[in-house]
Amino acid sequence: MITRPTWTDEAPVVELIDLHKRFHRAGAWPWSPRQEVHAVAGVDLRIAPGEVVALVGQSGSGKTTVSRIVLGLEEPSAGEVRLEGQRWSGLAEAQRRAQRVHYQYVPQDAMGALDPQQSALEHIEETLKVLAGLPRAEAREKAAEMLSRLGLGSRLHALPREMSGGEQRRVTIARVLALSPRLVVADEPTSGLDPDRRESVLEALIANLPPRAACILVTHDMSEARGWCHRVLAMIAGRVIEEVDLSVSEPTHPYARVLFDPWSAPLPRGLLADQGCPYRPDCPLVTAEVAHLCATTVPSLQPLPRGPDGQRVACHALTASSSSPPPSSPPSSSPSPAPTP
Amino acid sequence: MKGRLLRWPYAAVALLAILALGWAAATAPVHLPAPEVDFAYAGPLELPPFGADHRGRPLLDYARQGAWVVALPAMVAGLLVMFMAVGGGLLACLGGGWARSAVQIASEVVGSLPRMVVILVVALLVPRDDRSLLPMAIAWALLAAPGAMDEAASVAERLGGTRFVEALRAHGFSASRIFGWHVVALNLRPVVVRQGAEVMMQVVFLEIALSYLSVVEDQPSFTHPDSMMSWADLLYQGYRSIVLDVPTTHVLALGLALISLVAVVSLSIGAAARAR
Amino acid sequence: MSEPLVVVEGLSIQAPTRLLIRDVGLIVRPRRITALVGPSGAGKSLTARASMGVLDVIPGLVAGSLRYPALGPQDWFQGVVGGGERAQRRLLEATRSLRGAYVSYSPQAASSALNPGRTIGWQLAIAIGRRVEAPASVGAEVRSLLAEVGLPARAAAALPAELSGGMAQRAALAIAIAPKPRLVIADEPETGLDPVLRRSVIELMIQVCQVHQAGLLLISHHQSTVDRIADDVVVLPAPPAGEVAA
Repeated sequence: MITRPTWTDEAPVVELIDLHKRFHRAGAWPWSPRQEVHAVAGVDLRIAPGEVVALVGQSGSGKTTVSRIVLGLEEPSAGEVRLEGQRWSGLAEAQRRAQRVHYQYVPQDAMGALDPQQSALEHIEETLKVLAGLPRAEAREKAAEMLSRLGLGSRLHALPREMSGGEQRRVTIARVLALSPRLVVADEPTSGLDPDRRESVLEALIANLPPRAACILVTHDMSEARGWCHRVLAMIAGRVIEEVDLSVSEPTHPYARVLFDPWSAPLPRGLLADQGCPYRPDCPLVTAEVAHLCATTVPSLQPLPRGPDGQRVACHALTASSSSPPPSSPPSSSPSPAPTP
Repeated sequence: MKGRLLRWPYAAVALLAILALGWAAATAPVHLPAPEVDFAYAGPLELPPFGADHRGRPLLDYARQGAWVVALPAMVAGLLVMFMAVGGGLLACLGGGWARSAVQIASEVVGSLPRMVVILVVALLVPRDDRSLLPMAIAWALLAAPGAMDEAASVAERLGGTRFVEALRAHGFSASRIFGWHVVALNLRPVVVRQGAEVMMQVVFLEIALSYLSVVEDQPSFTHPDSMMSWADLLYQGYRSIVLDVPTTHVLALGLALISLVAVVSLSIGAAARAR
Repeated sequence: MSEPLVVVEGLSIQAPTRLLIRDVGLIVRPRRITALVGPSGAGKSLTARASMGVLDVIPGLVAGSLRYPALGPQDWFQGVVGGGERAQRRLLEATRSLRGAYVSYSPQAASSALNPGRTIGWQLAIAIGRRVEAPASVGAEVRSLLAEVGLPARAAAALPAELSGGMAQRAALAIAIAPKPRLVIADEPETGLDPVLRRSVIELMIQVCQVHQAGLLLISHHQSTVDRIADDVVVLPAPPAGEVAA
């Protein structure tokens, strides 16, 4: 389990305030009407210094869009992003560029972020010379040291095409960590890797984060996020439906449980409702007393009535005062029982 | 850093050869010297460095005049193609799929044009008094450009295109660093320089071919004033040594050597700028 | 029909520099699921291919026996053990007719299973052509296979690039099951899929195998999957440290 200290009393590194993002997707034909996709539908988030937060969801859940908005790679349609108290969304790129040193991005496509004509060492060296202002000799030395720390000591002069997927990923991570950033957003850092390599890449990233740095980990595998995050946020249809600390308790929302262990609950068919709770068509918790609420009102994140601090879930059925508390034992490796409504 | 942009052995060879040809072009006489019967058919040993033609005029002057005829047009053509190829590569990084498709279509359409016919049309349009290789060289470069742009665009795409640019932008690099250094200097350079060097070589060969046609037909050349000799003249006179048993083998040898030198320059430039 | 579909015993395969797998055995019975697990580089794909008669390492097979009891008692590795490339090539030819009609292999990435230049329908038709008995109507069979894996009929006209990850995996399954094999080998079909898709692909695979009364050899990294669905588990040990590409 993660042992990184956090400073929750201090000012948050990242603040997302009622974030919305709408896309227009072109229709099948040039004359077809464009569809509006509500990719992010009201996300609020605060991340303290030192915290590692996972955004978990299937493709289309909005997790990648949120991570891109945090760093300004996309602009939100509504809402605000603040980094270290300063407004970030809506700024011109020229104003943001100088600050980007502190807020870094590990892209999903590692190979596509590397220059095929530069060796691993040259990548980090360039970063340190240009963005950290170090003189050439010192930059080279620190670059070699950074790469060695991530297990690439013997691959300093390798070109990207000569490296495996895991090695390329580590180079992008090294490049980011070399700047000692205060925020790292990693977009599916383990995608495309063998399961054995996934652990080591996550470890390379999290264990080498500067002490007070916050980290957002975007992934579709919650069990993988488990050992490395303080908090997990499960998303569906652009909304966060559960926020839980997996070292203390298990997810309670039916969809979050499926993401956590797909064999533990009935498999959703994937149809989402347009009105009310998006998960309603597949939800096993809809009882007569909450059915009307579920059909008309989108549930907001609420703490569970008798649940641990910090765990919040967006479910009418679970947050009604008559529901019993979820099991609060630490998650075990064997399949978990179905939730009691 | 220099080691990444240029490979020195090749660059040195290319530089030396270019300097030699450049000196030749710069010092080319406006007219050939008067014929000297004593030196007719002289070999390189009798009249260094290259001997003389059937009327005793030194072949060195042929070489220098021929260099003058091709030097500037070839360079202009090469630079024009390089410039447009860089543009094609940058478009692929910045623009969406439409830019890439447009370049591809242009490349296919232009590539299907009968190149020599277009060149000859341009040649016929050039007024008689201003005969020069330059208009044909520019036309050749414009015909070659879409293909070069397409190749550069696919290199840019393999780089990752907009994803590559976005990742570096998110990292904090400036646009000039991303496009100037990474895209153009490191990645487009090999392809663009090779294309430019190839076009330079093609323009020289074009000149020789056009001039040879004119010499054979005993017509004034399209590419240079009558007072100038082209390297094609060396080939023509030297060819007669094979067919008519005239002692002009040394002339042929010089002509072929100059052509080889141009090929060496072109290939060396391409190799000097080669990718890792 | 309770004869096992494939029995491998004592399989050892040698590469130029090291022994890749040592003394591995597996059995797959009809309508049962055998899971093959182990870390990267342990030789899972190698074992799976060997059980189809495909040996592509040199010097290769140094020990082992391969039987398809449902077809007959012979040991297919006889004469191939220690025989080098020639013998392995002969085995490849001898077992060629088995691949497709008896045992079908779905490679690790769906993209390897799918020909990027041909439509799904075309590829299904080719796979159907490998059946022991040709069907009355190939078109109807294509549509029925697509329906079985939960793809719409219009997927037959689609190219692989037009399909999402989950859909491509289903298409690869349809192609694997099209020749009506008795045994399906699925090499890490869960790769790259999120938990929900993973389970639905695995469940679909099991369902399809049940319907066609086939056995399934599943290579998987996910302990939760193996715990839930496997009838037998074969565990391959990790290769010696330092010899796996990073």
